[in-house]
Amino acid sequence: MKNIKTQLFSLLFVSIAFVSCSDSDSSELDTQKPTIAIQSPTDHQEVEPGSSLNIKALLQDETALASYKVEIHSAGDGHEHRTVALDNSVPFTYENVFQIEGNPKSHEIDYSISIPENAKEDHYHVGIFCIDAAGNQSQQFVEIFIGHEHNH
Amino acid sequence: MMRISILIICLIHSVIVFSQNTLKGKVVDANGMPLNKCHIDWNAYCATTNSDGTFELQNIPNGSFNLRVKLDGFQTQDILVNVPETTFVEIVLFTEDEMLDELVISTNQPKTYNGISVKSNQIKDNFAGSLAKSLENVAGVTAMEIGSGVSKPMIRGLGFTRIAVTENGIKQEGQQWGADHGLEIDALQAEEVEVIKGVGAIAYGSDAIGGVIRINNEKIPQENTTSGNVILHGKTVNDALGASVNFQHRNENWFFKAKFSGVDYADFKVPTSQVNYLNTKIPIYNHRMKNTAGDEYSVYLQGGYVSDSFQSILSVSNLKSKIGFFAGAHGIPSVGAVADDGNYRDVGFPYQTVNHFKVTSSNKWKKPHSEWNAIFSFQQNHRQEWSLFHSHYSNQMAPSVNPNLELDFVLNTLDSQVNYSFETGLDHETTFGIQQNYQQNNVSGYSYLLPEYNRNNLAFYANQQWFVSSKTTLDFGARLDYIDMKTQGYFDSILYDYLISNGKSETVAKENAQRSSDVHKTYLQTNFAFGLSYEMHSKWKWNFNVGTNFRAPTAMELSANGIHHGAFRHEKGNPNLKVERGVSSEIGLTFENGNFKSTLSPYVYYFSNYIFLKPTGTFSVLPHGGQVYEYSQSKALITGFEYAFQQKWNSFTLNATFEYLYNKQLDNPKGNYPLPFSTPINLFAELSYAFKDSEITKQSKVYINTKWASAQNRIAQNEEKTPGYTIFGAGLQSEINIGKLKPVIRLQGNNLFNTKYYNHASFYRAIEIPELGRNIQLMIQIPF
Repeated sequence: MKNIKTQLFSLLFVSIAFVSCSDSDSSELDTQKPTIAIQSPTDHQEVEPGSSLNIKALLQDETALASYKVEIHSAGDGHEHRTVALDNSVPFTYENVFQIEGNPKSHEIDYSISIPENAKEDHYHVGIFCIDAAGNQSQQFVEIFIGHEHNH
Repeated sequence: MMRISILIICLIHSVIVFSQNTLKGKVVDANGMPLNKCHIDWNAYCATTNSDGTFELQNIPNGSFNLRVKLDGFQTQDILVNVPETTFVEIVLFTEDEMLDELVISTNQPKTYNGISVKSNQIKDNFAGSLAKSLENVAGVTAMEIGSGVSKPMIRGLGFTRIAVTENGIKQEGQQWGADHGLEIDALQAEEVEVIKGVGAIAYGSDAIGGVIRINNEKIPQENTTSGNVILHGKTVNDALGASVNFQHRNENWFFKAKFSGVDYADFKVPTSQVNYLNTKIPIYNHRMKNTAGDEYSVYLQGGYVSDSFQSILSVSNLKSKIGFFAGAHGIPSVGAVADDGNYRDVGFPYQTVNHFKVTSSNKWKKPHSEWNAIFSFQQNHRQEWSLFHSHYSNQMAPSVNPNLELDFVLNTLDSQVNYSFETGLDHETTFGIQQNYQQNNVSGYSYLLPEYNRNNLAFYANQQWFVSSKTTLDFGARLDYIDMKTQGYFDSILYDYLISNGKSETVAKENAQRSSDVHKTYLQTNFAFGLSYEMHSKWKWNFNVGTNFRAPTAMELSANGIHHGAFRHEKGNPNLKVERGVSSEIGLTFENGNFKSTLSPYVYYFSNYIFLKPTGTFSVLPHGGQVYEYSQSKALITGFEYAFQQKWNSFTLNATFEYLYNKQLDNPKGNYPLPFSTPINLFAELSYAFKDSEITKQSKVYINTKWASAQNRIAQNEEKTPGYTIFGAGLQSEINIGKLKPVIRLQGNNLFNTKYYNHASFYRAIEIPELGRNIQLMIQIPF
């Protein structure tokens, strides 16, 4: 019987050794994503070709922001409102990557993009992607309509 | 086990002392019917039973010895006999099913590995649509769900290509590498499942790291019997309606089985009216997830010849399914795509179709102390994703044929396995085997995701089992694998033109338009395993095993480059990846005392180069691409334990399983993050009450259960933290005697309080979709 007890205790000991791991690491790990609050454009905003589109957003992170990307692409993913270009308009695309100097915790984006006259009338996604210094990423989209209101 | 030892009846007759003795005996089944052609062994002496179940061993010396009784389809029985005191023994053999009847949580014989057998009835008791989901109450197993009808299994947080699923000895191939692809096996047709936790590298090779789910659909019917089942089932959470019919017949040597199943389900219900995906609030009309309906149909035909020395079984199966994807969160959030069209059963774009076809021939040549096995199999997994033509590149036109076929994968796999096993005396069993696996993957469709590839894997293995004593078994294994992997490069000229027209440099355009590169790799791997089982005491048993494991990098990990539309991520392959390697070890400690049984299984896995997706911090130039994620390797650790127990008090039974898992990387310079899809600490408990049989009801029981999971805050980078939850369920089941019909009725309710919760391992978790709401499910099984 004593022998069994010894064996049991040694097993128990091994089991504990198996699973006991200090969890000291998680406090230093950054898994918190940055936040993006898009103020302009607003969802379903209509934009006239030839006008300028204001991009305004607040980026925040609890440790350090690193970079962001602004892009505009056709939202023509087929589910609705497919328009056919009747003229020589071209689909509008925009993309720009910005480094955020000094790794602040908060950064405001505020600048304008000019929409060309010949931008094809369509629904577009405006996307802002943001990465913090640890590589955590978040993204946010709004849908806009580039074109003349009567065609919407 | 108490029950068995009681049932082994030794009749002691008067003793006449001779130096040479004769031992007579009889072998019967649980119903007292004599068993013909059982093999009786005692060292060099052996005998075979006659048609009346009797046998005789002659000229045996005095002493106390171990008699082994074997018969196919029955559990091998060892009994201790004293000669000359004993001259006649009667032995009762049980079929494997009978042995397992009462067992839910522990194995019935000391095995050197951690295996849990699940009978087809238990799968039906826990039926939850897919096989992986139906196995979720097995300690250590989680289901990674893709909507309400499809899921893939995970063991200890390891899934995808880090576990192996085998059917009739052949590894089930599918599109394991993607999160939205399920396991193409019909849960209602599985005859027997064994979940092996821990490394299975020796017998199964690459991928069998977290464990192996072994499905056996080659159970041979009893001679001269015909039987079958009709199963009808339905559930409220997705208005599923399904039926399954199976039929089997055997005369003396030939048998035949036919199984058909079909299920059709509607959009599933969730206890929420809106989901929040990428900061966009997407409405959920009438609590239904738009476009998550689907169907699945399967056919399984099997024919076989069985004799004492030879058996051959041919199986042909086909499973076909169509599953809708929730349109609101397929890529960029889309509010317009989720509008209610008044039809919950239709499947619109985007959706996937899968067809899995498989032929297996398995052959066995048997002698009393040796056996040859040869298995050959061909399987084709054909998966298509359909989505209304769309492109982020303005210069791409829809194809003229199948304009809405976004992705089309055809994976052909050929397997051949031959092994020879033989016994040396009663205490050694040796197996030598050779396996070959050839895979070819072809792709088409207007999008590009997965490279085409050819892979050839040749392996040799040997295994030695040594039954040191009736209490101790040792197991040694070694395996050598040679893998040759060739991926086919693909240059996307549309993307190249698009990038150039958007003012990108030629270098950047070329780098991104090369969606996959020609990679040719060969890997040579050796693996070793050691296992030990020991019965310390009649109540205490334990096993211990340690082994190396490996996984060859997939085509995706080696050479893909581009946006993974499902994960919505730019993933970049790395041709310099080494084979993922590790060591794992575990202990299974079982205690059984009368009405109490419990199993504790602590484990540890160490990876010397775990493959993971590393965020690079550099933005992709591709439209809708965030940062680029590159496949990298780091050391990693997974550890934890499972604890399962069962306690009976008269008619009450309490079953519970508890899981704890901890994992992290060990040498990531960016920080030692946890691994993705970590199972949170969780507890499942079920209390059941068994009724006494009456004239019209048999084996009736009612039960209530609960599942609790803690919050999972230990997440890999760019995963979401998942809050904890508690859900409740209840059910009843009974076999009812109505004249000739004896239907088994199973009624169960899940998530009774319609709790809104998330499953950390669900495909839909990443897109913020909660788990299924309240579900009431009815299954009627009519045997004939």
